[in-house]
Amino acid sequence: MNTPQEQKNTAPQSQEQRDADFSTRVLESIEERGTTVKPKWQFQLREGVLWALIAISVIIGSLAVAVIVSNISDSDLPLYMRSGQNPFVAIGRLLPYFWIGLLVLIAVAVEWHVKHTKKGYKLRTSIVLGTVVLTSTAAGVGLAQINIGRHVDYALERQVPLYAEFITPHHRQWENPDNGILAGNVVAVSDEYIILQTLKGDDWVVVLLEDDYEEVEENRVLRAVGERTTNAYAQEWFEEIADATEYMVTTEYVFTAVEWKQRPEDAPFGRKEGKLEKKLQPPKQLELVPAQ
Amino acid sequence: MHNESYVEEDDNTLVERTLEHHRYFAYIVDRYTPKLMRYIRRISDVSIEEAEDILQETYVKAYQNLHSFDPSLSFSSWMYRIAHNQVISTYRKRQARPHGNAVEVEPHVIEELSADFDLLHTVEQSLLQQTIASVLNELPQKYKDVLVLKYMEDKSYDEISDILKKPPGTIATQLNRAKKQLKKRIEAHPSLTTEL
Repeated sequence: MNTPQEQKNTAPQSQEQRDADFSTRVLESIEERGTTVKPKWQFQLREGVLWALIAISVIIGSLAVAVIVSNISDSDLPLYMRSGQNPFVAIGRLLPYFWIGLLVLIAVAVEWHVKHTKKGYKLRTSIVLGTVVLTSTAAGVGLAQINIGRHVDYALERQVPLYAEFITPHHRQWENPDNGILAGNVVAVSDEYIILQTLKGDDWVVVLLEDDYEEVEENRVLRAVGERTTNAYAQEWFEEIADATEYMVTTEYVFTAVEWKQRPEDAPFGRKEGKLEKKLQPPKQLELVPAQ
Repeated sequence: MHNESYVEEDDNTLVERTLEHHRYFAYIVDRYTPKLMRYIRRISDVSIEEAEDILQETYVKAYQNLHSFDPSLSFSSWMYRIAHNQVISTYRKRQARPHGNAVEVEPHVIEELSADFDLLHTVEQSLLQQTIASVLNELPQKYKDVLVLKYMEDKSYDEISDILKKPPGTIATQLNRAKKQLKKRIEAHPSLTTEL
């Protein structure tokens, strides 16, 4: 036989009774577990970190846009298209995909961070993404105007070997002589030819169809559209060039430029002191440290 | 500790009091237990005992995170949000989807739904009640969530947005789709087609 207390414990409780006892149970649980209220600063810090990450992401997004704008404006697309390339293929080859991809990633990251802020869930994804892209674009175009995009691109190419090797493949699109496109650094100019050193390190004899050699400046990038003219000149001519310039040129590497372009701020190749410029510089002398 | 004057206090005052001493949290628990218990049972298929465990965890989490409550939002929405997340988290641990109990559809819900959905008034209320309860459980969770909050918990769009942490526009769209699906399924439900 159950005691009255046991009967009370085993008798089914009404919902009202359960609710009334519930607060006691919750408080006991809080006390037993030693649960405490998390300090306010933890939430403020979390919110602050989220907003800082959003700000950093937008800044990186703006730099990405600045580099995209610089890359596109420096790509000499109209000249590239004169080689007879399909305009869409040409645009497709010259677009800076790394930076475009980075911008997309940034937009997605910002969207995630905004959604995790206190009131971020109230905003629609499309509005957050649109705002990030528009803000980055507006700031990026502004930064490109003051050459920040170009500086970032130059700096990365100088400092990060992988960037120079893989992230700027559009630069290499200009090294396609069999399709009538060639670019490189001008290492020698005469009144009959110029010597162009490409990113690969090949030395090309470039003949300008308009004979406008006096307009070409040395140690600057030149981009040309024309055609490869292999075996069009006698071997003796190449020997004369080699004697005059000390560049070992061959009858294989001759290009006739129908149109060409040099710009003071030429971006895709040598002026950025990237791979090509390093090649052109003499090797650094090692400093000898005296023995202790 | 139980003081009748605190029963009348608003939520924000009770939160402030609780931050001074945890015993005041009992007033919050007393105030929200019936509502949250009903809500948890509506969106899950757990027993009363399991629902109490979920509710207890809800309160412990609410207490722990009291400083994260933004007084510019409604405290009620914040509590519902924690309860909703706790149900989801319980189901995640079980690796199952909340199915919902045999939801009790009160007469006022039937009236509202009938008016809103242009449902057949000729159908007997008890039959409609059963049909709605059964169809509601078959709906995708996101649709069920908004319908339960709107018609059973009587929450506004903004409150639902705060509870489910989704933009109000998305809530409006989901509610619209949920209503369409519910209406379609009710009309196609075998119990009603045989009745007609």
